[in-house]
Amino acid sequence: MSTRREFLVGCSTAIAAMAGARFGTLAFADSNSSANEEILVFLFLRGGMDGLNLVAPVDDVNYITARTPETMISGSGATAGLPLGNAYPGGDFRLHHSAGGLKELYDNKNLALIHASGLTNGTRSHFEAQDLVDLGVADMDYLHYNTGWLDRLISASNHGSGIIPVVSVGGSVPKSLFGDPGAVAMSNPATFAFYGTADQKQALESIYSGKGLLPKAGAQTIQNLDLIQSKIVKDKNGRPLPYSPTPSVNYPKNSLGNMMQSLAELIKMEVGLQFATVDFGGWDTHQIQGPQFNNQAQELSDSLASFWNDIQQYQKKVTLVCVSEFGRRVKANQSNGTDHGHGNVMLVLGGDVNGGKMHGTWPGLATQQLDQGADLAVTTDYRNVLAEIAQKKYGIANPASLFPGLKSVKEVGVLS
Amino acid sequence: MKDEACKSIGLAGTELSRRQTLQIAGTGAAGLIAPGIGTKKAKTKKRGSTMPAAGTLITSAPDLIVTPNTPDEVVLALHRIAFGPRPGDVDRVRSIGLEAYLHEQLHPVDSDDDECDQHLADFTMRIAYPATKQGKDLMPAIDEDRPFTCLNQSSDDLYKLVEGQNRGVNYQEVQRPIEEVKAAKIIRATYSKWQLREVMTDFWHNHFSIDAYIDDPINKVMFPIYDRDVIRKNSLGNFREFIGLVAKSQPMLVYLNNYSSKASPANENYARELFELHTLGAEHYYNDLYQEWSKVPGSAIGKPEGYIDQDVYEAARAFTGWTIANGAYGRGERLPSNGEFYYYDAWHDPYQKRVLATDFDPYQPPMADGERVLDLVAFHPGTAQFICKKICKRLVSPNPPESLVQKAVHTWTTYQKDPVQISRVIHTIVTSDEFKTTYGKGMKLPFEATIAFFRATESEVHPDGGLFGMLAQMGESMFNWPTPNGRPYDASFWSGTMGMVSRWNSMQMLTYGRPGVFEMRDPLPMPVGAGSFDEVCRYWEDRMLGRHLDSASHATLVAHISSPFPTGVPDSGSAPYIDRTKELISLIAMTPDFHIR
Repeated sequence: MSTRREFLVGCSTAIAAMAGARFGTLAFADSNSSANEEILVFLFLRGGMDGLNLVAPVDDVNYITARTPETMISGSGATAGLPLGNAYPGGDFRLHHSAGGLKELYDNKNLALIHASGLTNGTRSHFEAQDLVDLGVADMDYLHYNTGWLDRLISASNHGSGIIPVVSVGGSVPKSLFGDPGAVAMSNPATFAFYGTADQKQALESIYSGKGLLPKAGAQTIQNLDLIQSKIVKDKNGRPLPYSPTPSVNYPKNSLGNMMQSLAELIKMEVGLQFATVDFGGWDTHQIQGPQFNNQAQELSDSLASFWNDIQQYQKKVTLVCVSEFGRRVKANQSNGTDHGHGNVMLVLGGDVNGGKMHGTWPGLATQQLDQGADLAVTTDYRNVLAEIAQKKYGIANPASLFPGLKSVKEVGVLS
Repeated sequence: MKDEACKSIGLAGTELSRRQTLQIAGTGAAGLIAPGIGTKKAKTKKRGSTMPAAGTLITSAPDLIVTPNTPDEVVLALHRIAFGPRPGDVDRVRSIGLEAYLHEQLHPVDSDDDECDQHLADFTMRIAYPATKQGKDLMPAIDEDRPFTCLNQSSDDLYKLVEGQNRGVNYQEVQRPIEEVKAAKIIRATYSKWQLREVMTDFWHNHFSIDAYIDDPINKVMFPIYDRDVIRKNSLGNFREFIGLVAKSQPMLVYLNNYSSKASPANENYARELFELHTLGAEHYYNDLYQEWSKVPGSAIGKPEGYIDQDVYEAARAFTGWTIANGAYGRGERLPSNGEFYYYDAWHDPYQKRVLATDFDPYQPPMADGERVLDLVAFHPGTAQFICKKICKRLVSPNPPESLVQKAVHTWTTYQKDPVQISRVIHTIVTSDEFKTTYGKGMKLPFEATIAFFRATESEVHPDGGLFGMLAQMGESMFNWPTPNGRPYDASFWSGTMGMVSRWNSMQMLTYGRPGVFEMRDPLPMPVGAGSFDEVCRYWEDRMLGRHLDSASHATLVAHISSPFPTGVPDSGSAPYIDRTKELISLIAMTPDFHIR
């Protein structure tokens, strides 16, 4: 009977934890791996983040003309954007006013910005563009292949071969990892638990021993359950103790805040986390962009700042790269929103990042400088940034080989 | 080893478009060609070995389990066009024949659904909130077990909640209509005689997916209308009629923002997803190849094979002015405020347009532009292909045989103006040979597995927030999918570690029950005359799967449940017997076999 009680307690905890949570994703590895192992976090802003509302030249007349007050960063007033040093020449580039956390990371030289980056493919479909980015390709012909760019990095670098090589923070594994049979999806280590008896688990182990997709998935699940549960700090009754972040760090109580906190917990559990994915949606701001973008930017900013401050001892080995599938149209629509566009800003946060600086080339916002006269042009293929990480952090000699269809890599200089 | 694993694991996005099908046809040849610019046809040449680094081209859905005992078509059908068999269903359908059962299911009779009606009538769900002060008024505290009140209300009545919100009506009242639709969906799926209609209602809700919880009260309070008068009513009907109602439904107008779209620039959200998700599908989005409409193959004869961004822009213009009478400020006046669909001409972009190579003259009558776009997409061959394949994905396999899709497309096209077009397509699919030979490719989504459990065990179900939470834990928060593409049917999405463990935990929870929410019948139904654990186990396998487990899994289960009782089965009805039986039921529900169709 006691097991049943435990089970019910566990269930309600799990339900509470799930309330409001969305599926997102993370990656980790051999607990015996050396202390120098790199940790790469791939944070995907799904929905088409409006990079021109996060970082923009607020004094550019083309920007001011194209945007409505709700869809732009302003240069003055109560909600003036936060000025950025080391920006592209000729413009007063600023961060959205609610992104104070990002500003701090930038000023401390941990955060680099690469504007006008993205897919060289001009698709304006969320789902195609997300798949292309997850797969690390720009050509539709590669869209139905079964390895993501992270899968290829993991196998090329001989990393991630440990006990639990790869984790997605959330409920499911994104396509950047979908060829990796070792990828573990979990929203929170404490709730990644089986509430049945040990006998039942043993029976399941035997039932899930055959061939086929589900038996393999089940067997992998059982194995990882044991590993995670063995690493979780528990009270004397065997219940998981809640995670305590570094004092003074307060994660925002929202979807990304919870996921970044789980990620920090996994890093500190020292289970050998090496590759993590996190998905953060809600960026598809076709209308009434102001309040929604404000909330999203704040959630992003606060969560990343909290995460960074929480993992002080691990900062040196962490690199977090943040992308969205595309940016949004330069000209706002009549719904006070913006439609699907092209070029966008990428964020790279890490201990070895050449931070406090804007990388790449700013193409300008005059009509003739825009892609198809409508969108911010892409001057940096997003894969050049990923390739640089692969090369400098994982020693991949020919990083173009990770990205089918990419002929050569152009160094962006985002890592020192 | 990595490669092997890739072959068996990778499958998200398994769907092969026409493009990919053509590519595969060309992969046998040796030559290489660099990806890049060219026509669709040029791109189909000889690709295979150019991209070893990309892994393997996904061409088929993997087996979820190997060599399952394929059940007969009746059992298959009860897992696909119903939410799993209840005791007696298999025998009944075998006796009348699948064809007769299908005919019955395709002609639901509302007045003939007593058990479901009784459950709906008996249902209550708690609503509780404290008193709140609003100006001088005090809104009273509420704590009551309330029956369904919103489910059958008119839009006039539901709209009062929106207006009430401005007068301090608690947000729970505004959200109540969604909660009622969720509870009713579970009750109907579990108890309704008209299972196929519920399956298709679930399918179309997912196809025209809406996050009912987005922060707009009209979206929330009108959700029962969307469920009742748009989705359920048309789930077996005519697609053109269906998308016309979806386009004018308040939840879709809000969710994809068309209600705020005005000239100019228009809001493109609805127009884009109309093409990409509701009708032609991304497989007919040719934007990576064509930036001029006249270059899209078929344009010269007014029959373009696919769409590009220019079509999206023009269609967005066509729908400007399709809004909701929500009292918003229009041009120097306020729109009426009754919550109904409203065409506001002052927001409409009246000039000439060109959609799918078809010219629209300027200054058309009210709504004519939008209706014409709906005609063009509804009757486009790409739509027949995309939707028929998607229905096959749900009813047959995530990667259905192309021969079957083509049969469905033929029926779809032949009957595209027939009032029961969709019903005819389902008939084609379910009576096909392919239907019988594709077992074990599809994984039940969490909602399906949960309802299948309720039906197999004849549980008493009174849905509440805890049950909704359990579904959310399995990844299927009801009417709350964050993006307009809806839940995928690919097993890889649902079979990650978190997906597996949350399913197992949920099956446990369903077995042991939650008083007043879901419980197996008391006393637990017992097989008559079962003299051994072996027989008990076979009985429950039959009941829950409609077939037997493989012998190794069966032996594992028998050993597991019999271990405390080596000398034999305890007395039927005794506490130890019930305990062992529940253990068995939960384990069968955790087998991979319970989760496939």
